[in-house]
This record gives sequence, structure tokens and C-alpha cells, in this order.
Amino acid sequence: MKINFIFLLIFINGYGQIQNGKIEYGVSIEMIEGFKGSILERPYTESINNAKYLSFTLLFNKENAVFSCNESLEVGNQDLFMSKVSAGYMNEVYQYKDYSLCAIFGFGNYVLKTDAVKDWTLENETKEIEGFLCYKATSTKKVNNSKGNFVFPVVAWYCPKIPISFGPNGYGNLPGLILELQVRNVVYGVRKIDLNLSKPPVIGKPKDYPIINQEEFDQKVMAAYKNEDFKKGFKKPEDKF
Amino acid sequence: MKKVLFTVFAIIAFSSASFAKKQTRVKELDNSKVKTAIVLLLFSSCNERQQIAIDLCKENGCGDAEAFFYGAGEWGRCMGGN
Repeated sequence: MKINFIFLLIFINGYGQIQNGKIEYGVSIEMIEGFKGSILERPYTESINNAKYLSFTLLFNKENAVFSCNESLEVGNQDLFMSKVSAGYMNEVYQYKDYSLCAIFGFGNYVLKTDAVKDWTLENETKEIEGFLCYKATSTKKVNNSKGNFVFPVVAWYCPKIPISFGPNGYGNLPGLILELQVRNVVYGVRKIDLNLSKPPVIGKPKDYPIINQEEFDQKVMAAYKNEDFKKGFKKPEDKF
Repeated sequence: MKKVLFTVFAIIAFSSASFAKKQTRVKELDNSKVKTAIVLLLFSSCNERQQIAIDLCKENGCGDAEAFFYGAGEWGRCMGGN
């Protein structure tokens, strides 16, 4: 009993001292019912099929993290573009305790600030991911557009043994690292876990652009819709994606 | 007599050449008008498809940015004849 307790202490202490890490995620996308049989079925199917070539890296230390898409050698960047859009990924996401920052793509030089999810519901349900016991947490994602207001489920599987409050695409603020995240029909799943790297990761920071919130970002997008270039047809943004 | 004949032939030849040139220009103008009309038709049809894609995306809960890119993609496919 005594030995077991000592082992338990060593085990908890070992994970409690996680200083940094590098997590690799993949993503899978499911078809949206309303797209079936429509003009969006084909392009969305391409996004789904190309999603398997996407991989993302989360580099973190105790204070902050950066989530970024890795360059793919198998498929051209252009083919992956819509998969990234469908996965809700726009650009590198710099994550802090209470918010995340992401340089927006295609709608001017701005950095979008998003508050961390605060309304998580912690569930008792568990599952093992890559040998780590994970707990379920749920929340919702709200989308408001000119056609209505939508609420989609968010399910995160976090690992209390890795007490880092970060995760894919800016999601976090849970008592453990998120190893799997489902936002509506998009699932980010862990592929590789490296903890306590011999060389601490360089997290960096977002571009020095003006910071805007979601409402202001929506206004920039709506302004792009009214742009004559867009009305006359698509003008490829000059930003690198 | 020879001079008169030469002058008559020269005038006929010059007029014919000038007429042929005019006809070619008219044809070229017609061609470019047809091309412009086709492009305009294509544009309006592709813009329509673009709008359909945007609306469909938004009706299914896409954010504004996602719908923008799906609309743009549909326009590109349409203009490319796909």
C-alpha cells in the first residue's frame, strides 16, 4: 500500500512538472447534410478528402501556446485551402490564458482576438486517447449570419494528467490539455505527443496588426462582400495562407 | 488608252482592297462584341452561382468568411467551365 502510494506520488509529480510540449493533431471533416445534392456537395467533398493531408502542431509552455498548420508536401497548398477553411482554421493561433490571437486571412491586415471559452460543462464520461485518460467537456459555438443564428455543439476531451489549459485552434481553458476536439462536424484528433522537450519551444507572437474582435471581423467580411472586385468575381487575396 | 485602262484597274483594285479591309474590321468588331456578350453572360451566370453557394452555405450555418470563400470557389469553378 505504502509502495503504491509512493508510485502514485511519483506519477502525479512527474506529470505535474510538465513545462512544455509539442502536440501534433490531424483533422477530419464530415459532410454537412444540407450540402448533399447541392452545388456545394462536390467542393465540400474535396475539402473532406483533402483534410487527411492536413496536420497541425501545438507548441506550448506554461504561459502560452501557438497552434499552426504544417506545410504538406503531398498536396498543393491551393488544394488544402478550402479544407482549412472548412476546418475553421484561418491562420496561426496564439493562445494565452484568457484569449487567443489570430492574424486574419483575406480581409485586410488585422489580428482577431477571441475570448477563451468560459462556459464549459465538465462531464464524468471518460475515454483513453494515446494512453492518456481523458474527460469530456461540452460547450457550444454560436454562428450569426444574415440567414440566422446557429448553435453547434462543441465536445472536448481533455487530459488532467497534462495540466495545460490549451488545445487546437484556440480552444482551451480546461483543467488539462485537449487531445480531441469536435466542433460541429470537424474533429481535431491528437497524432503525436511530445512532452518536456529538450529544447524549449519558441512560441513567437502574432503580427503587429490592429487587434479586432469577432464583430469587427464580421464587418470586414461584409465589406468584402460589397467590394466591386468580389461582385465582379473572386479576386484572390494577396496574403499568404 | 493604256493609261486609262491602268487607271481604271488601279481604282478597282484599290476599292476592292479597301472594301475587303472594311469587311474584316466589321467582322472583327462583330467577333469582339460576341465575345464580350459571352463573357458578360458567363459572368452573370457565374455571379448567380456564387450567390447561390453563399446563401446555401449561410443557410447551413457557415460563418460569413467561410461562405465568402465557398462563393468565391464556386465562381472560379464556373468561370473555368467546371
